[in-house]
Amino acid sequence: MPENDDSFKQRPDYSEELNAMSALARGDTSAMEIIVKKWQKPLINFFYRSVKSFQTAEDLAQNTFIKLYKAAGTYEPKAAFPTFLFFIARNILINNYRSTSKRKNETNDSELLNNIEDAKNDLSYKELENAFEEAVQELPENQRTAILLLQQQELSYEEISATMNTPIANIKTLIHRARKTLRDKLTIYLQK
Amino acid sequence: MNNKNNIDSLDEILDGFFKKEVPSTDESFTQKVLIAINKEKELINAKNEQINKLFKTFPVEPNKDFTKNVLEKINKQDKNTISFVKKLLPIGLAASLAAIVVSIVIKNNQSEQSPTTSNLTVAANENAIDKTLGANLFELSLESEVSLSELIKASEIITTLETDNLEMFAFNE
Repeated sequence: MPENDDSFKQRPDYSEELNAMSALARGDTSAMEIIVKKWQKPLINFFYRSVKSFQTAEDLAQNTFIKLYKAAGTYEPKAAFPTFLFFIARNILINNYRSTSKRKNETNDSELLNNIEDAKNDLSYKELENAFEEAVQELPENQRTAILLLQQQELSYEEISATMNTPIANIKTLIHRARKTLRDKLTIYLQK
Repeated sequence: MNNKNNIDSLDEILDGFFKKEVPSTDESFTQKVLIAINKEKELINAKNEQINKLFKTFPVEPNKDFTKNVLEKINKQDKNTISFVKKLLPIGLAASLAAIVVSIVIKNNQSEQSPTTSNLTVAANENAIDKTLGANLFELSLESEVSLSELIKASEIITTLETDNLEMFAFNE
């Protein structure tokens, strides 16, 4: 996991999303289709790593889109579109933890990703992957969100900082701690 | 050196795990979301219609001093205003108004005591349920122009308001 250097990254173009948000703010619901098609997978992936249930991940993604739709009128394109989207997603995720904290271990779809075609399908690799899933889920919410936004969603530190409303220096600390925890927990699998 | 190689190769593997995607949901999920959004649109329209009707009977102009005016009217035991706030409660938006009003009441109550604000604060403190930062909170911050921190302060009271309605507060209507 190399440290990402934002200055070398070509920033994606979100003009399509901006146009769609403007159209939504004017009441054109059909513009939502563009956003849903483009962002459903990143959102479901983001939620899945936290809740480990595909169904719940889909439900949370749907709620995020609904909130996004409702917030279209207040959206100002000062920050990159994913910053706004994942700000909403994170709030939905936190609310979901609060409402389900007493109902632990609902559905666990850890097999789901493992069933995907996998060239490295040997036992130790599977073990490592399962341990990875567990370890990611066990990270504190802010560490997990920060590292997922960086590694999975490829957001810049600046965007993550805006999404999580946390200074960049703190974001770097969160990511550093998350990486260290993952390494500490998983290094043992490389020695097997 | 060997340890560093181990870490590098572990990092590489973990990076692959992070990038691994759930199976595509594509069209069926898209359609499900769009249907849900259209339903939401209908709900919002119905809610707006209700709010517009209510505002026609509202004794305070909905301008930038709206919340302040509502608060003043409540402090003066204005029956029409109290009745209006109660009518707003069953509608989603109501909680945001109620939360704003209550948070300002509490804030003001720290410097000046009036029978209404005093009763309200005591009732709120006694009945506040530990369901802070519930699903409504974020929605409220989006719907209202109040900062999230302001709403966080009022969040316990929001839950109480939504659960038990305003009757529990001593408005002496």
